[in-house]
Parts: sequence; structure tokens; C-alpha cells
Amino acid sequence: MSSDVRWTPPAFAVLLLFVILWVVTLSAIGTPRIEVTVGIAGHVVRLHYAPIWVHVSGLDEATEGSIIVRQKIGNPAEDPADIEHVLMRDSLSDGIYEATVPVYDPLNPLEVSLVAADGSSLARSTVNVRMNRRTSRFPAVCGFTTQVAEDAVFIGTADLPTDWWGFDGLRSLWLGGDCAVSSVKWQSVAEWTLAGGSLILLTGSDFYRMDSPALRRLLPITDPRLETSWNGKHVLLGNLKTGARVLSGSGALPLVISGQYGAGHVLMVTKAASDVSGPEMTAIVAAVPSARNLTAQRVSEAVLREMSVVRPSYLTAPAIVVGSLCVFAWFAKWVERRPRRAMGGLAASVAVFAVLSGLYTNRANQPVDLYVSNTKITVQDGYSIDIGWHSLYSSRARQLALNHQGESHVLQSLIRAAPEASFDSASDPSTTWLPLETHEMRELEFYGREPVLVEARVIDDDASVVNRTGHVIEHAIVLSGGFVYRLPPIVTGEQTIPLENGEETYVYESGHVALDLVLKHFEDRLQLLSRTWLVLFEEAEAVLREGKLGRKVRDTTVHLIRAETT
Amino acid sequence: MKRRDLITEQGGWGVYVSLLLLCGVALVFSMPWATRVRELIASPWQPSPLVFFSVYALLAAIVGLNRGAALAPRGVLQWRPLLKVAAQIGFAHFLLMPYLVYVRVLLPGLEMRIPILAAYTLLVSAVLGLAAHCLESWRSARGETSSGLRYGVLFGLFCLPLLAAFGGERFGSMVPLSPFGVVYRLLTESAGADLPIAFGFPAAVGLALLVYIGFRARRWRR
Repeated sequence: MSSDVRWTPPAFAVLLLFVILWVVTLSAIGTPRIEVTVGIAGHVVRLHYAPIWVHVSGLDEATEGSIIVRQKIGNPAEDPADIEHVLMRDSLSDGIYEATVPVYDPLNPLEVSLVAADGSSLARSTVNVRMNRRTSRFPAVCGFTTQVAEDAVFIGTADLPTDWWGFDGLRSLWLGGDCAVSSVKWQSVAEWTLAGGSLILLTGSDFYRMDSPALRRLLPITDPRLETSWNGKHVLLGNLKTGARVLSGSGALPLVISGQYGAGHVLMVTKAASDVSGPEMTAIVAAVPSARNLTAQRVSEAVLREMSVVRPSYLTAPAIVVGSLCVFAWFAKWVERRPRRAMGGLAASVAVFAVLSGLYTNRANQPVDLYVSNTKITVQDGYSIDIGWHSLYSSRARQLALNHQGESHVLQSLIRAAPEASFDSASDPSTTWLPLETHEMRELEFYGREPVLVEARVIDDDASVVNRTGHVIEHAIVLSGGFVYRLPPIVTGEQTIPLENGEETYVYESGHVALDLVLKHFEDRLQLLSRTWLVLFEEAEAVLREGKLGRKVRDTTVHLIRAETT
Repeated sequence: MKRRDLITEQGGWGVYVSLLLLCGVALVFSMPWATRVRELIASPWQPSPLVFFSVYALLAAIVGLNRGAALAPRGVLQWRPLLKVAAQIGFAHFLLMPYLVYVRVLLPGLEMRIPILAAYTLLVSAVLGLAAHCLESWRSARGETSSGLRYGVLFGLFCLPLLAAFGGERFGSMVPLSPFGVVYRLLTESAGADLPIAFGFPAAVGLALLVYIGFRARRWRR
């Protein structure tokens, strides 16, 4: 048999090709590789969060390591700022890792590395998002292909991020057709809407494919039911929730029903995407509000500005000066007549003043060089999200390690508050390291989600509160029917508190800058006055000393908890 | 002579009161003034111990010049008046002790630099006292005052090294010759390398003056 094989040149070429392919395949096996997708369907917006998926392959076994994303801000030829995010530091194996990072300058590529625990690079990928960058937020459409806007992006359910702040780059999210969203993704959609997102649901005959507890919570109607209209199309109808209204169509056969969930808007189209005509779609598009996330910036800044400066008392230095002059005057008067006593008195007085000065100038009175306001606003309505902001002011150049309270990486505001300010930073989900210049103010945003630990129900004139936080919450109020009711400290466990001595909201002042500002700025966005809310307020302040540096930190947390009323 | 004359002879009172008052004003102005962070942000005045220590160094130098000249005998150089000069300069610094302790509130982590600065200022003050003593003794023998010369020396010591430093980096090493430069470097930078120059220069000048005075005093006794 073997004598029949003729080793002609083509046979040699084929054999050689097989050998090369075999060698290449062998070398590929066991070589870690990463494939990276950034943004919703690859689209990103400058200074907004974007989801990132890192597909790791070729790891033979679980390896201790980390996934690191590096970005540059500015012209690469002119000393750009380097931003580094450690997405995860864990035991890594083959699979898809999802995280959410802020995108600062999509003109520059993102470099993603898989780094072993010893610091060696296992794999690296460069992602160029320049072509898919957006100059402003854009609509995303999942499940159907109707062009709702010129800048709309068609996405699949796999493009929906798991972190709700991954939707940060969206102006609106359209769900309908065959968009089958998992419960985890429904949660992130609901949380984004709660934070100020704009969600359009095209239901009709697609409703049962989409139905989930999260969807029911988002819908502006209760008891949804499908009915058949005169033309044989299915229409989703139900009872309007409080505050919901029909925007388009008739009362008997509405086309668009608008409702509010948290700070966000939900537009429910009663028909399926495939049943909506062109003019109807034009009317729907015109009614869609833009997403606008809640922000704690103004509250955090105001708290920072109102923080007291750590300093010695105004009176101490003048008192020492005046005291010294008085002692010297007394000495000058008596030194001629009683020189020995005068000299002794002077020496003793100077020594006493020096000792008192030494005792007074302890660490508690030494000025600090860094003031930090950490503000977190938790909004809870079935789901619970965190809106956070760090405001910093430094009177001395320093390197800062800032611990986060939220789950997201921080997003720095790129307003240059000092001429030499640098936006270089390194960050993992719990800490960010950044340099601060003298007299620099820095703003950093973060988001997160919270477990539901406090629940409230207001029935008649009683508030029933369940506190599972494990600690007592000192300041609590209930907003209901345009009145504010002050509550006693909320202890752990369940308690029923009578609502008495209500004050009208427009005359109410809590005495806390942060709480008053939250009530003022969130009043319209969350409809604080027309709905019933339990508001909890926690504040802590500490001065921390780190060698010759010191920082004063104020942590402010406001919980806005939608109370059930039935 | 009574013991108290050691510190009060030749109009010492005014000098001490001026020193206490002016250093006190500098101390008050060195303190952070802002009550709220918004005031720090709006007008980021750096409440700096530089203000106090610069004024302290300048006034201590003037006290040295003043006392050295005031106690100088006409045309002769003797050790006894020099002891009075030293006593009066030391007394002036002793009066400032509460201020020096209090100002540490502005120097968290740098407290050890206060005694170094105090020792340096005392040294400069004493050396200028010696210089003024010699100048006044020499000029008074001719019926003239050394006032212009003394304050010329003061200007030269405090300002010329700093002006020279503006001339380029190669003159940067002259900065620690000026007390202002020493104060700045000690309070804002790690000034370890500058300390030998900072202390060595006035110490060398002081030693030279002491040798000169010793030589002149021996000649006068003969």
C-alpha cells in the first residue's frame, strides 16, 4: 500500500500545511487569550460608564490573577493622564467576566490585560472604541428593528449590562418584540429606571414573552390583561397606577401610557412592536423623555463647603500675645523695686505660658489638609440603588487612597480645579489612588446597589417599619400627603409608630444641610410630596491623622424608601 | 552694676516689647482663619508658619543688630559689653518661648524643626549682634554712627542670596545663606543638605568676629 503513495510536490505542500496548522493549534492551546467587548453593542459615551465583557480562554487551570483596564486621557503625545481599573482580582479561569468601567476618552484605545499574581502579563488586548464612540447619550432598541431615532443602536439581550450603571450611556431603552430579558437583566433595567432612566416597553402580543415580576413593577398599570382590538391585534390593558396617564390613543384603547418609577419614566406601548404603525411610532418617539440620572453632586458639595475647618481657636493666639505683653509689662514695673521677685515671676510666667501652649496645641487642634465629603443617597422602591458622590478639598499636595462606599468604580469629574492637577488614578472596586494638588477640589461619582434592609408601610396614621440593618437609625421622618412626620430613632426589628404632629413640608427644616438639600432637589424627581416615603438620615464625621497629614471625613447617607400604603 | 541691668541697659524695654508685639501679630496672622471649607475654597490663603518664622528671623536679626550697637563702647572692644549683648539677645528669645511652642500647631509632623529654627535664629541674631558691636565701636570712634552700615548688612544677608538665586540655578546654592531661604527650605522641603551651610556660614562669621574682637581687646589692654 505504502508503495502506492507518491510524494509529489503538491502532496508535500498539503502535508506541510497540516503540520503548520497542527503546530499553531498546539501552541494556541495553553496560551491564555482575551477577547474584549466594551460598551452597549460596542458603543460608548465619553465620561459615562460602559459595560465591559472580557472573554478569557486558554487558561489550563484556575489562576490567581487580575484583569486590568488602562485608559489615557488626552493627546498621547502630550503626557496624557493614565487611568487604571482593576476589574477583578481573583482566581481566574476560562469564561466571560463582566464589569462596568467609566470611559474617559474614547479617542484613545483601552488596553485590557490579564495579569498573573506575580505581575507577569498573561494576555493583552487593545480595544479601539474610537469609531463607535458617541458624543451624547443614545437610544438602544432590543427585540425589534424599527428605527426609533437616527442615532439608535440595535442590541441583543446579551448586550444588556448586569450593573445598572452600565446603562449610563443610554438616553432611552426600548424593549419589545423578541427581547427575552433574564430576571438579572430585568433587575438592572428596573434599577436604572429607578435612578432616572427612560424605558419604553412595547407590549401587546409580546407581553407574555416579556412578563416578569420586575416588569409588573415597572408597568404603569396594574392587573395587565391582553385584549383584542377591533382590527384583531392584541392590546395590553389594565388599571392605571397612581400618577400614570394616557399620552396617546383613547381612554378605552390607549396607545401609550406614561408612568413614573423612582426618578425614571416608563412609557408602555399597549401594542406589540410589529403592530405599531409609522405615525404611531412617530407619536411615541415624540413622547419619550431622556434619561437623567439622579446625582448627589450638589448635596455632597454643599456638605463639603459647610464642613468646619479644623483649627485652633481664634482667641488662643491673641490671648498668648496679650498675656505675654502683660507679663512683660508687670515685669518692667516691678524689676526696679523687687528685681528678684520680678525675674522669678517672669521666668515662671513664660514657662507656664509655654507649657499651656504645648498642652493646647495637641493633635486635636492641628489643622488638617484634606476635607472629604462622602455622600450616598439610597433610593428604594422594590429595588434599592445607591447614588453617590465624593467631594474632596486638599490644601496640600498629596497622594490619596480613597475608599469607596459603592460598588462601581469612581468616575472622576475632569474639571481642572488646580493648574497642575493630574487625573492619573489607579482604582479597584473598593479603593482609588489619585494625586491631589495644593488647593485642589476633586469630584468623584459612584453608583451601587443595596440590599433591601428597611421596609416601610404607612396605613392610616401609623407607620410600620422593619429595620434589618442591625443598628439604630437616629433620624427618621415620614413624608406623606404633603406633611412631614418626625419619627423616634428606628431600632432594629419591626415597630409601629403613630404619625403625629405633622409639619407642612414647605416649613420643615431638619437642621441637617444634606437632608434638607436632598428633600429640596429630589422633591420633583421622586415625587416626594405626592407619594409616601420613609426618609432615614445618617451622618458621621471623623478626623483621621496619617503622620504629618490629616483628613476630616464626613459620611452622609440618606435613605429614601418608598412606603407601601395598602 | 546690678544684675537686672544685664537685660535692661541701653533701652532694652522698647526692643523687647516690639519683638513680642510684632512676632505676636505675625503669629496671629499665621493661624488658619477660615471657619468653613467654603472659605478655604473661595480664598485659598495658605495659613503658613512661614509668615511667623520669617518675621521672627527678621526681628531677631534686628534685635541682635540693635543690642550689639547699643551696648558698644566708643572705640574699644571688650568682652564685658559683649556678655550684655548675649544676655539681652538670649532674654529676647526666652520671651518668645510661648510663641515658639504654640506655632507647632501649624507644623504637624515637623515639630522637630522648630528647635532647629530657633537655634538658627539665635545664632544669626548673636552673630549680627557681634557684627553690630564691632561696627558701632569702630564708627563711634570716628564720631559717626554705624546705622546705615548695619542695616546694609541686614539687607545684604537677608535679600542678596535670594536675589542671586533669581539669577539662575547655579546661584541656587546661595539660598541657605539667607535666613529667609533657610526658613523656607526648613518648613517646606527636606532641608538636610542645606543645614551645614545654613549653620556653618553664620558660625564661621561669628568665629571670625570673636577672633578679631579677642585680638583687638588684647591690644587695647596692652
